[in-house]
Amino acid sequence: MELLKIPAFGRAFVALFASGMAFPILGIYILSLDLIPVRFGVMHLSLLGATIGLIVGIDPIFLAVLFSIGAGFAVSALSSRKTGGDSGGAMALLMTASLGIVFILFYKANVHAIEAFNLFWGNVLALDRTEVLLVIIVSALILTGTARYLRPISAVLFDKETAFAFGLPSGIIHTAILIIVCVGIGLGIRITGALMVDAVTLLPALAAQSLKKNFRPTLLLASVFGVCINLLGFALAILLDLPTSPAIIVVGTVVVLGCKLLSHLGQQ
Amino acid sequence: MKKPFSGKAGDSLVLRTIIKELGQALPRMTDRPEQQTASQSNEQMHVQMPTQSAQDYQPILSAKNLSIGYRYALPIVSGMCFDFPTPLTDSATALHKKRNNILGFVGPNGAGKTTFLKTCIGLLYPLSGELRLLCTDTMSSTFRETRKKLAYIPQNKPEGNSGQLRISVREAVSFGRLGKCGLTGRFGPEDRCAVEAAIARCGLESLANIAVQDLSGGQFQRVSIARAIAAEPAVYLFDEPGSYLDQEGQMAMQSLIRSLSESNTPLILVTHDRILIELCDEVLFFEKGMARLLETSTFLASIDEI
Repeated sequence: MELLKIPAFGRAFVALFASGMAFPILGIYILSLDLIPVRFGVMHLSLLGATIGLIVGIDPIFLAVLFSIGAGFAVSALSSRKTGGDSGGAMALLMTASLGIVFILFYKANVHAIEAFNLFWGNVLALDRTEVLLVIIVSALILTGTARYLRPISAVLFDKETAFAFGLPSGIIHTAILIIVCVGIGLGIRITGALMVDAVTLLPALAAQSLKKNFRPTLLLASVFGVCINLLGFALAILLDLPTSPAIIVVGTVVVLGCKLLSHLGQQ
Repeated sequence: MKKPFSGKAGDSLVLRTIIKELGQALPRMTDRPEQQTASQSNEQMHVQMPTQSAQDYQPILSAKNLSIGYRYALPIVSGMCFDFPTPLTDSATALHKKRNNILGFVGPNGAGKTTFLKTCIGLLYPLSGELRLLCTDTMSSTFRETRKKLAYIPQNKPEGNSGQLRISVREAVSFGRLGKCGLTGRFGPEDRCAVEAAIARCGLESLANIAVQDLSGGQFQRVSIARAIAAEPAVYLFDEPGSYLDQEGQMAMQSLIRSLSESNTPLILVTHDRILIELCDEVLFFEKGMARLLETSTFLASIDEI
């Protein structure tokens, strides 16, 4: 508790609590819309944005989020009914290209190894006040948006075409979901790093889904698991002197495996 | 001696084979009402709906020089011109045949039936020409309002309903009301009544709280129909309602669709099922990149001849 009085630890605690509550909902969206391959592309595009930010001296998180929003629009356009296309292949191409450019930029701009390391592995203790505020605002948007539009969102997640045929603006809802997922991934880069964004989004969602509850309880469980995983991971990192992101991932993995075991035993 | 259709599941296979040979055998019927010839027999004429006089005739579905398909690809069907239902040519002499307002899309696989159904809903844009459903151009901005009056029942998936999103049968049925109650999806007592009535009509009361992932293919298709009924639509659009169902499931489906047809709400069906085709007033026969509107009796007679 004493540690939380130190500003860096206090900010990290708030960011992990807020993201733990809201970001697993994005994980449920990713799983429901089968966006696993797409999210790889978005992660690497945000990494490219953050790298450019680092080189030109703009806040990396700002450019990371901006690039993620761009990626969100690109995915939405690629998967729209006008093009009738599939976004998976295009995003895979984008992912590889982004990663290639990122390493060229690191090499040519002589980016300091620690700074590059922070982009890949994240550093929740390095968050400033603006970044924490951004995490809180986005988390509030995810929670209130999901609560207010839960039924139309679940209709689109269940079957986008049928929702559209019943008169819902499913294209707009789908694009909104994609963009908020992309913004979350962009912000997640700062918290857990580009390679571990899944820790705050997918792991709690996977744990909640493995219990095979209906949509609403699953959302609630994902949020609860998210907060628990983030804060337990953070506590473990402080107590055992571990890097925060890997500690969160380890706790998340244990929770997912525990839930799967529980579900398996329940079925038996 | 021709083998009569029994309405069993195997019939659809026989029908699909026969349909392939039909292109040459069918009489070439004219599509536009003004082009209809005097030689058309009385049996091919309809009686208008009781509320519909020849003057206020409004087609449910009409196409003018329509080409359909996917963007950046060759059209699947082109030059479609028809009005459904075909207007009366001589109401005084027409036989008093009951009209169900059911249109069937028939033809071999890959001929463009589902593509056309999706174009009717607005899921795909026409490549050229004009398509009107309930007198609204599917390309117009007002079609969004018209879409709220439609109920689309998609094809059953062969892999089942094992999507990631677990929702109960009641929730799935309630999605049918979303077009009516706006973006927030707040339900009033009327919406709840409509959902419960649809669940009861499709015999899903005992399954209402079960997740759709745990249902069989036939039960899941009943959920889709209940969702459509809950919408209280102006038109039902079915995409191969009996696909991937066993014989029992197909029979249950046929009886549900028959009961819907009695409510006088227009139905558009993509089907290979002889029993469902018999319910139709007219069929849109897709073949070799073309589509022709035919009397059901003419279509079935041609099949029987072959």
